[in-house]
Formats: sequence, structure tokens, C-alpha cells
Amino acid sequence: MKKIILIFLSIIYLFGFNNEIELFDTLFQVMLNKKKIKVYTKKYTHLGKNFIIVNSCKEADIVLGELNCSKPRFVLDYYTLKSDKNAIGGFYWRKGRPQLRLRRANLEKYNLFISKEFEDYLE
Amino acid sequence: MKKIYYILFILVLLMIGLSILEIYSFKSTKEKIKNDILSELVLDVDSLAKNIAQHLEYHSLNKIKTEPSLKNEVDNYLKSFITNNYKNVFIVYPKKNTQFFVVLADGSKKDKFDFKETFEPLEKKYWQQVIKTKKPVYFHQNIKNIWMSFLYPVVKNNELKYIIVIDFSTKPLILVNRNLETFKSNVILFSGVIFVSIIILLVFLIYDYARQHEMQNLIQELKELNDTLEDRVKEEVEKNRQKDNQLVLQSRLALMGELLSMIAHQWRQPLNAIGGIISNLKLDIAFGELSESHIKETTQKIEKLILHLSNTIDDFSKFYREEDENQFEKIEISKIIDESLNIILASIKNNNIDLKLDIQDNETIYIMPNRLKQVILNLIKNSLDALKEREIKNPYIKIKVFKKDNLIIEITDNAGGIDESIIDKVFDPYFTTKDEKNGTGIGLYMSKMIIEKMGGKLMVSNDTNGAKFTIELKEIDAN
Repeated sequence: MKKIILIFLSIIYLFGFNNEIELFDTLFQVMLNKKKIKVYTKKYTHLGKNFIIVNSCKEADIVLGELNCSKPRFVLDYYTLKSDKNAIGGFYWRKGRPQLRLRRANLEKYNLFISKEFEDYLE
Repeated sequence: MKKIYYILFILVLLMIGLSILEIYSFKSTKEKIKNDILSELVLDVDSLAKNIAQHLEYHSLNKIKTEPSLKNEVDNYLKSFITNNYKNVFIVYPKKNTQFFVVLADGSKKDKFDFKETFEPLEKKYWQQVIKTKKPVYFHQNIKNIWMSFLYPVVKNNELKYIIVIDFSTKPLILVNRNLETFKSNVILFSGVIFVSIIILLVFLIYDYARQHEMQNLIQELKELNDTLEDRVKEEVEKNRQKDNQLVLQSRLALMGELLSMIAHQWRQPLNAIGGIISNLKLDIAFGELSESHIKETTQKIEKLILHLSNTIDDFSKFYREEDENQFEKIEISKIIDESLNIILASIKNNNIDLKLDIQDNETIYIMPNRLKQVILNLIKNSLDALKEREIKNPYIKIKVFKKDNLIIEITDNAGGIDESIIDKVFDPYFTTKDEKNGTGIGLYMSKMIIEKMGGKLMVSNDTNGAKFTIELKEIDAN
């Protein structure tokens, strides 16, 4: 699995957007342990077959991006991650390199679990 | 054709070879330039990294960890190394027990790392290699605007203190690539011109080959034609001769039917005369007046009449005797006219047609007698038919023989002549104004052929009262 994540990150950095979504798919399924995940996001209009994009915080399983919502929030920017202490993690680009970060304390707060393979990305 | 194939094959091979050479040359040139640039940059960056290391050692980089205010100073120092060649210059140290590195200073203008920001690199194996070997390493990156990364470890007391990271900008490569692309376009253009030239050459070669091939075929055909021309001419001449002979025979046979009725007329008078003499002889026997002198006189009369009949048959059989086309003989023209009239005269008289004979010059000519007789009989028969058909009052046929340079035989009638609209066609084969029973359309055609074969001319014109056929015969040297 660790290799798969590395491959994901490598592919993301090579081919961009679509593989970024696949990373979210894998990560969120592991964290939420659900097949269909309701995502509250303004950044994406389509996220693939395993995601349902919802328009309100109330319906969502997870929030993707910088939105005011009490649900687990996964941000897409370094500075947002740095300032948002409640974010469970983030995915962003630094100097052309993809960066994945997960926050153990916040994951636990929302009773979210990650597999061993993602532990390398925990802060 | 083989030659063309060889040329084509060689040209195609040449084009493939040139293309491969071009691709290889282009790629190798590109790689060589890249390697040269890299070698220069690596040498440059190595000394650059050493300078940075010495400078930071002097300023004691470790202090930054405890005094963040120093970071700006170091950042600005590193910023001075950012050029077109180097996109990022930053300093990191490995975060213990993780795959991350911690950023100490960053000279980048954009996308600048925060102090102590964790950073996860790509191509981790090279980073691990630096940690393990504590030696500099450089490797290719597939990051936008970054070509290669150079990792320079700063080691103190055999301990890795930090790593100076320098990202090579793709700008020098872009410049090289741009120039190479221009070169590539020129090469493609050049190759295109060569390719088009080869195509034009090939088209020309194929066209030329096709022309040569066609020409050779024509020459071959011409040669074959020449080889067989004599035989073919002989064959055609023989065919024409046979055809002419057939036509002559056909026309003579057509004439024979008509002449048979003429002979019947010719025989009627002497046969009647013989019948009368025999009746008188019977009466003389009955009355006992038969004397020896009377028998002698009567026998002589019958013999004379039989001779006349015999002559008629002789003339007729002579006319139909097979005659070789080269069987020319010297003969007086009056004899030809007489022998012809011996056959047809009775028919002329029987139709109450006046025959006017005017032989002014009885020349001896060298001709084919029976053929000339055939012509004369044909012309007289045509006049006779026209006079009968048009029921002309006081009909006449005039035969005039005279000499005017050549010997001229004119046969004229008073049947009204030939319609001017058809007069030019009367000598055409199978042209006739008569019905199918009476005309075959070959009589006049054959007459003209016969006269021309004897070196003469047969002409037609309209006289005051009728048609005039003129035979002009050249005197041929019998020797």
C-alpha cells in the first residue's frame, strides 16, 4: 500500500489533476470506511464515481478545501493547512513537488483512522 | 524496368538512411549539448555550493535553528544565487525518523518555503544516497521548470549537518531547445526539399521509362511491320488481283446471259434461211425438178449459212475463252469492233436501232482483245437498254473510231443522257440505275478497270442527244 501511495504521488506529480482525485478516493475511503463519500467542496465539480459532491456542510462526510464547516476538513493549500488548526490534513504543491500531510490529533478527534501506509505522512 | 527499380530502391534506402542519420544526429547533438551544459553547471554549482557552505559555516548556520531572525539574512544570501540557471536554492536537514526534511533557509523568489517547513522530496533514493554517502549528487527531475536537482551535503565531524539543494532551471535548455527546434525545422525543410526532388526525379524517371518503353514497342512494331511489309503487300496485291479477276468473271457471266439472247437473235435469220432452202429442196424433189446444179447451188447456200452460224459461235466462244491479264496481242481495231458487233448486232437490229459505224482510223493496237470486246459490248448493251427503256423514237447507237494523239473510240446514243447528279458515280462499284434483275452495278466499274489496266482511260459525258462514253487507248510498244 505504501508503494501504491508513492506511485500515486509520483503519478500525480507527473500527470496532475485526475490522479490527485484518485489519491483523495483512496485516502478518504480508508479514513471514512465508506464506499460512497459525500464531499462538500467548491473547488471540484466532479470527483469520480465514489464521490457525491454535496452543497451543504450538513450532508457532507468530509470537507475538501477552505470552507467553514464542522465536518472533517482536508485542505488544498499549505498556508491554509498551517493556519487551520482543525484540518485533518492537506494536499498541496511546493516547488513543483506534491505534498501530503495528515494530522494525527485531528484525525483522532473525528474518529478517523488511516492505514499503516499513510502513517508516513502523519505530523 | 529493373534499372528504375534499382534507382528507386537506392533512393528509398538513401532517404531512410538520411532520415535515421538526421534523427540520430539531432538527438545526439541535443544530448551532447545538454551534457555539456550539465557538466558546466555541475562544476559551477559544486564550487557555488562549497562557497555557500563556507559562508554559512562562518555565520554558523546552527544559530538559525535557535535564532529565526537570522533566516532572512541567509535567505537573502541564497537569493543572490538565483539566476537563469538556478531556480531554487534552499537548505534542509533530514527530520529524524521520517521521510521529511526540514527547511532552514530558502533563497527562492516565488513559492518560498517557510522556516522549518517540512518538505517531502521526490526521487527519495538520491536523498537517501546523500544521507548515506555524505557526498554530493545530482539527478534529473521531471518537475515543471526544473531540469535537475543538485544535493550538496555539508558534513562536520563526519555528521551530516544540512543539505544545500539547488534546482537547475530549464531556461538554458529552453534556449538550446529553441535553437535546436529552429535547426530541426531547417533540417525538415531541407529533407522535404530533397524528398520532393526525389519524388519529382522518380516521376520523371517513370515517365521517361514509360516513354522509352512505348517508343521501343513502337520501334519493335515498326520493325515487325517492315519485316512483314513485303509479304503483306504481296498478299494484298494477290488478294486484289483475285478480287479483280472475280469481278471480271462476275461481270462477264452477267453479260453472258444477255449475250445468249443476242446469239439466239443472230441465229434466227440463218436458221430460217436454212429452213426455207430445205423446204424449197423438198418441193423440187416432189415436182422432180431436182437437178445436180440445183443441189450444188443449194448445198453451197446452206454451207455459207452454217459457216455464218459457226463464226458467230466462234466469236462467242473466243470471247469467253480464259485470257491471262498479260495476254496482249497486236490487232486491228476494226476487227475488235466487228467481232463485238457479230455478237450484239442482231439484238440492235431486232430493236430497230440504227447502228452508225464510223471507223476513221483503223489502227493496229496492242491490247487484250477479249477484255476490250467486253468493254465495247458493255457500253453498247447499256445504250441499247437505255434506248429500249426510254422508248426513244429513231434510236441510234454511234461508234466512232479516230486518232487524236491516242486512239479514241466513242460510243454515243440518243437515249437522253445520264443525270448530272449521278454522272460522277457511274463508275463506282455496285452503282446502278437499273433494277436488280437487269443490273449488277459492276459493268461500268469493271470496264474502267479493264481500260486502265491496258493503260487507257474510260470517260463519260453527256452529248447533245445522249450519253457519250469515250475510250482512249495508248499505243503500247509490243516489243
